[in-house]
Amino acid sequence: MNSTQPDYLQIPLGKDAHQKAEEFAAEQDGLDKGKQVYLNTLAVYAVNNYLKWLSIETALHQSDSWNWSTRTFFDIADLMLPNVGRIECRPVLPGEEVVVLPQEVTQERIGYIAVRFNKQLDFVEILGFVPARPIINNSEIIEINRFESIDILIDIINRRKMKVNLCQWLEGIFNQDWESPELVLAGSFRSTATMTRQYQDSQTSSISRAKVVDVGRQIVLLMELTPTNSAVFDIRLRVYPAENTLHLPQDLQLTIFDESGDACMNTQAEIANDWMQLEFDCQHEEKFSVELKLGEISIIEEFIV
Amino acid sequence: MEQQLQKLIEEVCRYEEGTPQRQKALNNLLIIVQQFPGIKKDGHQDYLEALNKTWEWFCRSIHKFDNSKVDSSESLQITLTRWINGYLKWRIKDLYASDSHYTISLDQPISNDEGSKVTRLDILADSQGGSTSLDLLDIKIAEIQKSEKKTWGERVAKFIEQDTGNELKRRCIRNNAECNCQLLAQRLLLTKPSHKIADIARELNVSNQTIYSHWKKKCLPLLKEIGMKIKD
Repeated sequence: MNSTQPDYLQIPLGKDAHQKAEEFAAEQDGLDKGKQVYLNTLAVYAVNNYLKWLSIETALHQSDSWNWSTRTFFDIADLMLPNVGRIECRPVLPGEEVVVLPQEVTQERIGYIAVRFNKQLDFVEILGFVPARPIINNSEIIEINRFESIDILIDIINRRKMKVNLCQWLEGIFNQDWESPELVLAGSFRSTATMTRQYQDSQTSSISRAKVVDVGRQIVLLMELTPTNSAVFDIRLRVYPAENTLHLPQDLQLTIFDESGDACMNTQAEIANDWMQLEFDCQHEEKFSVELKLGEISIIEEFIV
Repeated sequence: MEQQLQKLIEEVCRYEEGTPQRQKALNNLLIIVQQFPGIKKDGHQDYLEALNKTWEWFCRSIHKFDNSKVDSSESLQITLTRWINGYLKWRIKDLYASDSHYTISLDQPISNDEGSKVTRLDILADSQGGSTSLDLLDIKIAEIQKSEKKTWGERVAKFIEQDTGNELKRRCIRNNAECNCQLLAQRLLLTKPSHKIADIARELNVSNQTIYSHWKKKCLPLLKEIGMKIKD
């Protein structure tokens, strides 16, 4: 092995993997399509094994690649992770330097794993992971050197599992780190009375919880949820400085992303802002994520209504 | 290397199974351990399945690896290799037992097609017994597709061409009957190589985006539904 080459994790492709790939390729019409399905199947099978090693839950049978009609119409190699989402396991053949994403896999994906085959098709190497967010709307070609550590995938999976279920808030079930605003803001320099008045001004049916996050500076995220008569919830998201500071750090950015990772709202702190907010509404079961970003550091929280 | 290995093992053991910290440390540990030259190899056609089982076991059981009783003159790498091989050896034995084979010596000479004597180990070095290499994949796929009397793909293709109930033709974009699901399916799925959406858009005088979203939102779900029916 060339010592300048980084070592990658290897997954053996046993006879079981090849049997599955054969079965799926046999359904296809034409050599190229058959070959595509064969390699996609091996890639998904291998990643599935690998995630099992790490005790990450997978659901092959909920994956489109394991559904014969979708794999026939699309060039897909997705693997479903329950309560998390789909990852796409793209095959990379010897000598290939880029991963080309077919249009059909540019949506509904958490991100992409590059799976490199050797000529013998007896092992694959995991080259790395790229989250979908920077890919979408940008480019459908990813150079191999842009794939990053699998740690990023592990973090995303963990974060999505910790997803805050806002519906449970209505039943009085709160995630540990989301506390009553009075408690969180008690230590704040700003008078608690003004703060609480601000959110109690709204309807009595709304529920507020706050959490301190760290983006290099401590920031309080305040989430106010108001059920309406229909299946829609009004959501107000406010950001305050924590610690003993009066103002938000300048250039602090607050962004809301929809389920597919598109940014839908954004606001940015200017000089001497003492708070900022975004207001929007959400359907029942809608998922969104909130990003707080200051310089290079960003924190993402995932929510489901 | 030894220190890094020690550190990673401790890191894995410090955290509970399923935690991101443990998963990250395990991933890094595996990358190092898989490179150990002493990991047992075997010529059995299902060896890779045994190896896969071994890595799965390794991840689950690494906290049971006890380094304290080890002779200090031995490196951690050697001790760990022996520990892994202790499990792998039995998984390989299982393979031969289920074949009701006896253990074959890797060094025993056997004849190959050209009549010259080679050992099993030589063959092993060339290829993994029984698996398909990338070069032979075309041949293999042609064979398996031929053996399926009529592939499901062919049946779907026939359906698209005939479209007896006009199910596909009926789904067209507003004010342009020509831009319908049958035409798109023919151009995008059946024609080899398939047409580009941009070319079809120019020809039919509609925007790329209109075609793309019609294809994605109307045609594909319909085709998926039809595909299900055909399979049943």
